[in-house]
Amino acid sequence: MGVRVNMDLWLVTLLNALVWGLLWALLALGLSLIYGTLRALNLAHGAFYMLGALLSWALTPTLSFWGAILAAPAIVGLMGVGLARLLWGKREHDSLTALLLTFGIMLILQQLATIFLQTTTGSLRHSVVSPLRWPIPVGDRFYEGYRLIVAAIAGGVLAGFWGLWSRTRWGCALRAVCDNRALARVVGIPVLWAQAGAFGVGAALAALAGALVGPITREVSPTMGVEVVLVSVLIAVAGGLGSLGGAFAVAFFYSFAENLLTAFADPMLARAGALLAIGLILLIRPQGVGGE
Amino acid sequence: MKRWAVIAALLAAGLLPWLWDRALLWGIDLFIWGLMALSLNLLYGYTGLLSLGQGVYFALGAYGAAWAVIYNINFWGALGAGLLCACVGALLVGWVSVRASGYGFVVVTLVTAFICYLLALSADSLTGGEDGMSFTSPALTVPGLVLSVRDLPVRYYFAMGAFLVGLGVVSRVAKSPLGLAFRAVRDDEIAAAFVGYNTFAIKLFSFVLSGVLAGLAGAIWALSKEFVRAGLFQPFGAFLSAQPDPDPLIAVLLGGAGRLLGPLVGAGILLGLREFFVGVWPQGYALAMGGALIVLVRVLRRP
Repeated sequence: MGVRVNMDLWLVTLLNALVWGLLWALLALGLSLIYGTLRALNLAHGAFYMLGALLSWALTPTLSFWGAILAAPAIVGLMGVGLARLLWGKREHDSLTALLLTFGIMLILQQLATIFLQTTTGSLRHSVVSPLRWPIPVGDRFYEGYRLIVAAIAGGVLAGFWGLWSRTRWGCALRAVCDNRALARVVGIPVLWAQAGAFGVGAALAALAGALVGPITREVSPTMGVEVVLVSVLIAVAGGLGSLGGAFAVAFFYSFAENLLTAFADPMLARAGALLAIGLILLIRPQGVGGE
Repeated sequence: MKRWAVIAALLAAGLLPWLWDRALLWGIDLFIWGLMALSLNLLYGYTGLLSLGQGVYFALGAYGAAWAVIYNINFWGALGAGLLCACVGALLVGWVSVRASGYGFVVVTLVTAFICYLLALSADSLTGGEDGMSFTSPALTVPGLVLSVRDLPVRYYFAMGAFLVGLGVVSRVAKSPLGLAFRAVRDDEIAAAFVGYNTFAIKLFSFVLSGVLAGLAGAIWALSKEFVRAGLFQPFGAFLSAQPDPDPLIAVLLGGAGRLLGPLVGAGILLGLREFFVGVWPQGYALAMGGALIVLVRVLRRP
């Protein structure tokens, strides 16, 4: 009997690792895409994630949850396009300037969300109800079916993105901008719009992750993105900035490491351990797993 | 001429609390956060290394002092313990992080800060966790005098003294051949290595010195607040509170990176802005900082 219970626990842990791996992949992929096209490490990524969660929470009463998780990433994505056009415009920024710009965006978005919540609801933390109750029996335990749907959605979006990236003309244009901006301009690719588009897509992916996470963490708040951006930045860097495959691989590695460690240690130690493990990857391969 | 300006500024800073008592509290914050920004200026302004995890050494300084006080060590011992903790921490992190360049360095400092924060949270018997722990600062004993940091004027002059020590260190270093080496690494690391500088040692030294100065600021902060909490380690932690303390990076950029008094000016502007917004529109302060950051980096050149 004891062995059986343990097996169930392992199965739940592995399922969690899969779900979170896909979510981290959504986040790290966006970061990597933004770095590839704009040469900017986007510290505002956590703010986009937070906005996604917050917007989907705010829109759920009018649009239903499923409408809200479509609308929230669309809004944040458009905002990302606007921000990129506004701040990058014709100027090229060196990498540290770009980093500081995104730091400024993060502060402003986080504070706007705080002000919005304070003035409309008077409270900064709000609980989120799961859109469906579908407990799946796993041995003697139950697994939330909603998490499997999250995995399916995230996996579908990642696969769809992969198709666009590798099979279509738009993906080809983006890859060209990543490789060589000057040459891309010469062959007639509107580089500024491609960069803004990539920023928007990255922001929308982060917002989708946030919108999907809301019912898992059961809470939204303006500061929920602060820790998330740190982890996803490390994943994207260890994956090799600009390398989407690397980001994907390290996201899964991180998620499995963290979730398996949670079985032995408290969540904070588990997270610290998983971060250290990725740090080791960087020590061995400073350019990241998929970096050149 | 320059000497007279320095003497006048020192006299003004020394006499101000007697003329206007509100300046006491304000000045204590200004010197502590000015010292913190000064430490980052040494690293970013002079050596060109952008660290987003400077809060770790502030926190280590604070915790080193707090732990020493809990073990009944006297005031100067506690201050020394804070500096030692910050120094060891900076040496360990610097050993790894300064090997990375550009983004690598930013990310390593950011993530070590995050890991330290998680460890501090989980070791809550040692650190007090998120709630923190309070203690009673021992008396400040100078030969012939026994003072208490609870007295605001004592705290003011002590913070001012520590800031002046930090300022002296940075200005001496900036003028020395070592300071030239820092700037050589900042402007072109490959060229600096090519003419024979050991860039690893130079960057590590800058990192550790900057960490020790941040630790000094942290130790003074802890000894005067008589309180420490794990949140001090948290990267971007200041921005999670409603009334954020001056962020050293924004202070350095505001005052001018690579300028000796820039950090003090920047910290002063941030404290002034906070004071202004508290009366008018408290939530506006963080918006103003974010806006200032965007405008600053779009307008200004890098150091």
